[in-house]
This record gives sequence, structure tokens and C-alpha cells, in this order.
Amino acid sequence: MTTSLLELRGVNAFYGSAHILQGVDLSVQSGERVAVVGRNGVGKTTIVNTLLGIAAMRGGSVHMRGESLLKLAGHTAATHGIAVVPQGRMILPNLSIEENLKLGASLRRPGEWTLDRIYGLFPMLAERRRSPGTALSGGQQQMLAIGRALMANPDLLILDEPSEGLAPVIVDELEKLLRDLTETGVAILLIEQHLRLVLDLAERFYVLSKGHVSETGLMKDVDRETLQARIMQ
Amino acid sequence: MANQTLAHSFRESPILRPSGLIVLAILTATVVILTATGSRITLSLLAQATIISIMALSVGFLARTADLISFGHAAPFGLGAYGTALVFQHGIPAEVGIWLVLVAVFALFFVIGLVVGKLNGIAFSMLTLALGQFFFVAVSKLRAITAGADGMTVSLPRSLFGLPSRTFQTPDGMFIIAAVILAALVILIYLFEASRTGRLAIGVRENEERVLFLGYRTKILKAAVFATSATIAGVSGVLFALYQGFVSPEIMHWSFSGNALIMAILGGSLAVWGPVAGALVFFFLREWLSDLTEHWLAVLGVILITVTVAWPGGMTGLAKAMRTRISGRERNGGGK
Repeated sequence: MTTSLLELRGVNAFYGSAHILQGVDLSVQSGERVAVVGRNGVGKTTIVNTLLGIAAMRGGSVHMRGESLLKLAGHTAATHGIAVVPQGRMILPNLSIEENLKLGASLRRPGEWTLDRIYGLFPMLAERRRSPGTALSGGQQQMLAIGRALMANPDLLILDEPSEGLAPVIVDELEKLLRDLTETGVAILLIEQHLRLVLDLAERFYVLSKGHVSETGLMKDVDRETLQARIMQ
Repeated sequence: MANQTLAHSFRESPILRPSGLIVLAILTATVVILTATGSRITLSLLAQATIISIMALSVGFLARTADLISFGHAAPFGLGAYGTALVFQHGIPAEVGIWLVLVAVFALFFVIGLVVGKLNGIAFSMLTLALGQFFFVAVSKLRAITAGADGMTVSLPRSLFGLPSRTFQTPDGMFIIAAVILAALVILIYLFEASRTGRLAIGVRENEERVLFLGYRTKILKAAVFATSATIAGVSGVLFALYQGFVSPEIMHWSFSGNALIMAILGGSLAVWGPVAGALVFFFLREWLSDLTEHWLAVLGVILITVTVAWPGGMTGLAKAMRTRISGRERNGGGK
């Protein structure tokens, strides 16, 4: 039996007394592209927040490469090779593009991703390396957020609503980029509400409904209408 | 590697740009001229103002680097001053003792920072206010150690850091010493801001959660910034004790923290030098007004309110607005 890169078993998570995740099972294999879909407010982002220790996990387990993550906290996810591109990108406005990228290399984990390689991937960032991060367009900021996450040399890249606010042509670029990334061995967990990117990119999907996984399967077995219907159920 | 990092900080720091060096040269010349020509009273005021500038710098450093407003910085100031007095009283080797006092202030406020650093905004300010008052009351009540409200005389040894002790208690001597230390601290803060850790601190100020998720222990960094700021206040307290030769609990009262905060706000936090300029203006304005009228506090209040409303960024905000205006005129072809 192969060990999953990330495995959530029966995870229950809370914001205060609000019980958001109610027994979520989810796994991601190395180099895999997995999507979590669902309507607004079903708990998609709470999965990310649980891994970051923002939502309190009271029940269930999280394993990374078979190792149990007992105490989830903001800074420990990166230690275990999990990098998050958050909703809204959260570019640090008073730091330059290069400074934003350098902050990503917090733990100096060994790996292939260096500043030069990020600039090779996103030449536009290299051209404007001294500009403030917020001087970029939405799509460019998304690239910067992805570049910053890659600087940590992660095994798993979690993207929370990455296509939000982006033009369709930019979403296409993003899809190609993320597909290329998985060729390097990085796994992707895509949290998305809009199905366009999910359908083009993911190999497997989880439908989240009222805090639990209501359906899972291979993307090749469903079409847009079927997936949409299952989300709306 | 460490040398490379330091070299990088030097390259990136505005203090070593031509404009920064020119300002430094002008200030050095000013200190030399004032020392040579100033009256004893003027030099005494300058010495006191420069010492208090260091205190304002510490409050401003915390506000600028961590966006935290402290109402309790009189505590590390007072601990620096009382620590110095106790070192001399107990015959501890003076130089070692003063360094130990500063290390102790850093360690104590690092631990405190780990707790209070979890808070932001008004909650942080209120907690520092309570903390400051705790130290004020402790110093007032621990008569056996601090002599309580009577205060302590600071008996300097014959020489200190290779200088005759008298140098520390004459206006011109202390003015030069305080000015040199102030300049060194300002340069160090500029270098810190250009360093990797400094940029990280700015990142924490902007969005602590995001930096945390990148894998950094932001609480430790915030505690270190808080402790560094407190230690700068401690340096100011050490100089105060050396110059005045006497310490009493009043220097740890919350109103002294409030004054330092007013100086920092008056100067603004858009540049490192802001709180220093604010302190100098505040100090001399206070002296001048108190000579003019017994209601000087009310007049000072009105001036401060006016300045704060007109230039929310303080003196640094005013300087920035003027620079923008001048560069705008130049672009438009000569100020029509």
C-alpha cells in the first residue's frame, strides 16, 4: 500500500463552537492534481485553515507522508512541505516583488526552486523585481503568490480560489502553469468554486457539502453538468 | 555569509546614499558648532533633549517596525536608569554592569513580548500601560532596594568606558556622548530595516498571518522587536541616570511614556528620524512655552492637536508632502 502525501481522516474542525468540518476524509498523492469543490460556505477554505491551525481540529487525524501532524500551527505546515497560496493572494504591499519572493524561502528546505528559477518561470516578475508587489495586476499578483509559495520548495501546493477575479485568458495560463508544476513532482490541492479551472486541471475531485465529503471520483468520469449538479445537490 | 548580509544591508540602506551622508555631515557639524558656541544652559537642554530623543526613537521604532503603540516604555527607561544606579551602589564593575543591565532589559522584555505580542492595537497599548504602571508601583514600594519615593543618588565611579566620569555629567560632554549614541542607533535601525530580518519584520507588520504561514515564528520576531525597542529605551535611561546623577519613580510614571509617544507621533513614523525630530521640537517647544506662560501645557496641547490634524504623518509626513510638491514643480517646469 502506498502512503499518501496528505491524508485527512475523519477530520472535525471548529471555529469557536461552530462545527464546520464534520468528518472529512481526503487524500492527495505525490504529483497529483486534486480539486475540492462545493458551494459557498460548505467548509472548503476551512480545510486549508485546519492545516494552518486557524480552525481548531477536534477529532480525526492529518498525516503527511504517513507522519501524523499532531499539533497544527501556522508555521508548521511549511515545515512539513505544505505551501498555501491564499485566497486574495495576500501580497505584502510595502515589500518589493523580490522581497516578497525571498520571504517564501523561510525554511531553506532543499529543492529545485530558487529565485532564478522563479524568474525563469515568470520573466515578468524579474523585470519588475524592485517594484512593490501591489503594483502588479491581479493575474501577476497570483503568479507572485505562486512563486512565493514555490520558494519554500513544497511537496504540496494548496491554492485557495486561485481563479477568483482573473480574466479567462489568465486562468488558461494559470492552468498550464500548474499542470507543468506537477510534472516536477509537486502535488496540487485546488480549492475552487468555479469549475472551469477544476475541469481543465484536476485529475480527481471531492465535492464538499455541509462540512463533509458527499462525493469523490475521477475527473475523467464526469462532465461539467454532472459535477455542477452534484455540487448543487 | 554574515559579512555578505551586512554588506547587503549597507548597500540597501538609505543612510549611506549621498543624501543620507550629507544629512549626517550637517548634523555632525551642528553638534560641533553647538558644543563650541552654546551656553551652558543651552547645552544642558540639548543634552537632556538628546537623551529623551533616544527614548522617543525607541517608541517610534516599535510603532514603525511592528505597528504597535506602547504606553509603557517608561518601564525599560526606568529599569535602565535604576539598574545603573544599583550597579554603582553595589560596586559591580561599572562597564560590565551597564551591559548586564541592558542585556537584562532585553531578556525581560523579550519574555514580556512573547505574551503581549499576541495582542495588537488598543489591547496591546492598554497592556503595556498596565505593565508600565506595575513597574512604577514596584519601584515605588521596594524601598529596601530603590529607596522608594525618595529616589536614589547615582554615584559614578572615577572613570567610565575610558572617560573621566565628569564627562558624563557636564552638559557639553553628555551632549556629544548622547548625540553619538543617538546617531549610532539611528544608523543601526536603518541597517536593520534594510536587512533580511528587517524586511521580515515589515512583512509581519503588513500581514502577520501570511508571514506565519510561510513558516516563520512571527511571535518570536515580534518579541525580539519589542525587546530591542525596550533596550533602546533602556540605553536612554542609562544616559539619564549618568547625566542627572539621581533617579526617582517619577521617571517610570505612565505620563512619561505618554510624552515619549507624543514626541514619536509629532515626528511621525514615515522615517526613522521622525521621533528624534519630534522629541527635539517637543522638548524645546515645552521649554520656550513654559517661559512664556504658566498655562503652557494648554498651549502645547493646542499646538499638538493642530499639528496632528494638519499633518497626520507628523513631521515626516510634512517632509514627504513637501518633497512631493517640490518634485512635482520640477516636473512641471519650474514651479508655476
